[in-house]
Amino acid sequence: MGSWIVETKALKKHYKLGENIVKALDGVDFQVKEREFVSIIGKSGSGKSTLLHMLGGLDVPTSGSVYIDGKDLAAMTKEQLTIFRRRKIGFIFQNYNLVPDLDVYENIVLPIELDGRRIDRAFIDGILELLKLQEKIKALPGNLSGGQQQRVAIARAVAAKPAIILADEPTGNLDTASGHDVMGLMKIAAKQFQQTMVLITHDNDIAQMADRIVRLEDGLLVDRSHQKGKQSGGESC
Amino acid sequence: MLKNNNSKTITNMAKRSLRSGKRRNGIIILAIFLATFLLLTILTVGVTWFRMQRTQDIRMAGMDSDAYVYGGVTEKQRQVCAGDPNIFAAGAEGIAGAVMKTKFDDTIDSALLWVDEACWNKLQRPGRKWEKGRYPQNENEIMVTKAALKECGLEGLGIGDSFELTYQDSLGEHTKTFTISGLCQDYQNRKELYVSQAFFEKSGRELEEYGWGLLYIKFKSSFITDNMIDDLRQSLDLNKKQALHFTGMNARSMVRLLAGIASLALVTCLTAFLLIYNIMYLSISGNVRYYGLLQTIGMTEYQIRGLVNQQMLFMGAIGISGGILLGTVVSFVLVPAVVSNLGLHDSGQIEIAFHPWIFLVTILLTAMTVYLGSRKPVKLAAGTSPIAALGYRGMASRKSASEFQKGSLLWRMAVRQFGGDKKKTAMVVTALGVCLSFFLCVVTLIQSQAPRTLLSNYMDLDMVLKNDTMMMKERDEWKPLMDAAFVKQLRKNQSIKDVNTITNEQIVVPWEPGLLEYWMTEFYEIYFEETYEDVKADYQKHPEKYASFLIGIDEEEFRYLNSTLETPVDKEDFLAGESCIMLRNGLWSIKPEKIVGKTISYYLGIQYLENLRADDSHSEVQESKLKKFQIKVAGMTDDDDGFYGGVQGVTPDLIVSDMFLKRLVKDPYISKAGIRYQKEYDESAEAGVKKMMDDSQYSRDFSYDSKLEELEAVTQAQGNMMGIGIGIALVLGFIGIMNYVNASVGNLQSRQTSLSMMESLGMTGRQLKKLLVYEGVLYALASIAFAMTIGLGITYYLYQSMNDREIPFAVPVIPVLAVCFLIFAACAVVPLIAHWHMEKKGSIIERIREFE
Repeated sequence: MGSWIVETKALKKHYKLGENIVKALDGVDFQVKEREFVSIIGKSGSGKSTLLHMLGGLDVPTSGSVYIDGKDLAAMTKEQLTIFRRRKIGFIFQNYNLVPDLDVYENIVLPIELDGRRIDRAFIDGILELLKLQEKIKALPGNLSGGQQQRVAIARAVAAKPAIILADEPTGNLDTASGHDVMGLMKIAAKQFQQTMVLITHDNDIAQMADRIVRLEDGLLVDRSHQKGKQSGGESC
Repeated sequence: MLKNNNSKTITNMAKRSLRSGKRRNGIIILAIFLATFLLLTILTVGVTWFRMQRTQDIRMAGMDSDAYVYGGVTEKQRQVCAGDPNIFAAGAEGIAGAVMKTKFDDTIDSALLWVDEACWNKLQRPGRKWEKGRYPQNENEIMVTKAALKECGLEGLGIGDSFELTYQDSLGEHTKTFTISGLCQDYQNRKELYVSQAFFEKSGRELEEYGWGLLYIKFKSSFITDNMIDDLRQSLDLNKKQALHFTGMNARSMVRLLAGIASLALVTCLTAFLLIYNIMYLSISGNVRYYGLLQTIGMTEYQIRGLVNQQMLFMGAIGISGGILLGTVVSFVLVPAVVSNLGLHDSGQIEIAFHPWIFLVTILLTAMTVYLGSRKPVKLAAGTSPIAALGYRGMASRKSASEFQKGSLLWRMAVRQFGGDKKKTAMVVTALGVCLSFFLCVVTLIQSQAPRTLLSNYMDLDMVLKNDTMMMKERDEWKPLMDAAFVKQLRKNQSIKDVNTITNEQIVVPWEPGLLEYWMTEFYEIYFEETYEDVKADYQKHPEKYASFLIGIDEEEFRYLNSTLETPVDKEDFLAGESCIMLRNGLWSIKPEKIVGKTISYYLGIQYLENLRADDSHSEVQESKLKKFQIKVAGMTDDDDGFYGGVQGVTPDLIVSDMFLKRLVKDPYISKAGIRYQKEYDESAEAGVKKMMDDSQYSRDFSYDSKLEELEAVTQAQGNMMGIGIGIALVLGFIGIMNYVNASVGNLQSRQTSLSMMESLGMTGRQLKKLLVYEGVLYALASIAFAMTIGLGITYYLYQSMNDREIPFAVPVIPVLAVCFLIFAACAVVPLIAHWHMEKKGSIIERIREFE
């Protein structure tokens, strides 16, 4: 397994849709190095989100394995997996998935509180400043714009200081300018907090911001890694 | 614009939606069905329950009457009642004589009664358990209760058998052979012997004489106003000896009772309404996106309203029809079966009949509830813009953020959720709280009617043994039934906790101005027909004819008696024999302030009579030869329970310390022994006491009052009232829990995404379960708080409205605690089960996606 922080082996996810079997993932071997920023691109229905959910332990594979930081997710109980996820992984969803009854601050610190840890107020203030959310901490999600909600989702993902950020189309609901702003912030945050980031997007411009780009088609990785510039990317099969 | 004829399309869509949304619609139909059924059942059972309450009252009184005239009744008064349009029946009862003895028992405590046709057939019949044969017509005929036969030692006799009876009437003592023309028994096992009118007419007694005649009155209306009572009192023109006692329910009590019934009905309807409303609201609000879609493809607001209303109409019709059908089966099959088990008389007075208004009210109420319940959701569906509807989550968010709260995260989240949608929370809490309040109310009312509550007698004694020979006029005829050895043997019984005895000694009070003269003036007004001067002269010449008693009680008895007095008396003086407590003997006109503090003189009866015999030639006692005692009257008791009575004299009976009485007379007669068992209602202890009486050489001269036997009689009189009451409580409990289940499941469904989101962020299964349990606990606490404030208040009001017997208000703690525990358990477990079902739908992401 070497130094991979994220690794999948022959990962498959098949499900029934009427009388047909849909192969969302059909044997994916995928690795990501520590602190690497990888973009996964592909058409709608190519299996990008399914792969991301498998990496985060939010979905159960039909076969194959997922290793995060060397640990096999399938070997964990549901309880262990949840605790592992909240400590190791930060999720950014396309639909933000903010808890509507909690205000901005409560949403951001929720994973920390769930873990029973002490809130590092200075650290949270730093995130809020970085993401320009200081003025909005008492606002409810319903009263924020899409860009603001996405920034709250990013803040929540990094607040618990996870090793990995998994982002599913974080700019999908934003206009181009806001999308680039959010991506810039995510990159800065990931760098500052030394996090590994796996990003799903169908926007080539956004994908270009990553260290490495991989392509998914019909549940298979069809493109060898598109290595970018200075940082050496991970391999893919 | 021309109107499109699209009603057929809408109707088809409504019908199709019934088929396509089977599960959702099935729940709504089930809700309407159950609500209709429950409402119908509750109303029917409720009406029956209140009728049975009336039945219980009649059975306990042995008669269905609202008032009675005591102190004699004239023919004119009977005619006035007979002609009064407000009066259903007025029946007379005459006391023809006192039963003295039969061949088998010479201490019988029963009277020979004559009742007229109205009293026998119209008033007493509903209070009678059974009746065989016919009412006596000939002078030598008699109708007896089974209990009276037993009292006379004639258990084996039946209709047509004859027996010899010695009785006393106004003409003296007679022995006569009677033939039994009929047998009967009421629910209280009274010992009664009924004679013919011919017999009564020859007894030398008149209905209009004080003490021998009574008139029972039953009004036509159940709603008896003060004016009706005043009019009756005026038209009867009562003399000083007569009194009109009102035993029925007056208008004020009736209004209070009707208000109580209306409140109960309202609570029931509210419960049903909340159930339907919650289900409708949750169901329709869960489908707002569907209605939004319809708008998107061109359906107008008006058409959507029409569509939803038609859906509701179909579902309402199916649910109401089914509910009415099942409710009818219950009303017409089960309820009559329960009532017939009560053994109610087929007199037409009480029977389960067709109640069209119950059906009408049920249908109207349910239809109204369906309409009201769907109005807001319909508005929601029709009024939301297509885009907003597509984004509708069926979950209310807070409109503004509140201050960050401290404390456990899960508690904070639970409180936030609980208070998030105040209206929905209020609905669920009200539904549960109302049901809990209803339960509280029903069990409290049932408890107050429970035989053991009704039977709290004097000093809460289990058994009172009586020496019947003490009723004999001549002291020589008294027998020492309960001597020191007998009492000692009673006390040795391990099952008996304590025995209190009442000792008696006859006294003769000389005529004296002041206290005695005041007493005799009042006594004369009621009991004597002769002139006052004649009575006074006779008394002064022969005071022994007007003898009374010293009644000795022990220290424990004194403590209890003293606690019942308005002004307690000094204990030391009483125990030392320096003061006494006077018995009122039913002389209600006596003013205690004219008695208390004064001194009364007396001679011991035994000494007085001995002196009389020794000096027979003079016919008058030389009182100077006798020791005259004096004692201060420190207090007066009404003796409501009649515990000290039974041996009353003409002059005042004086309650004194038994230690003092024993100093005056060696081994005074024990007239009563009050027994308390180690264990209340202990059958074996009672059997032991009865065996002692049976084994005594004076077994026939004993009589007794048994709390255990009274319990059996009252339990029988109540029939199945308790079961029906508990049934109502259970049905309501079921509605309440169903309401919570429905609200809880709906709530969780609407929060499915939110909860799955939190799981994705790291909330463990254990934390999620804790959160749901905390939320449930908050609902339980709020519902219990509702019941303990509003519910308890209403319960207290209703209780006092119906509390004719003045039974102290007490909430039955164990059933209420048990139900509170059940509410807690249900509130905690239901969301967990709902979540468990939800979890089975798939992985976290699948559950989040279901919404997206």
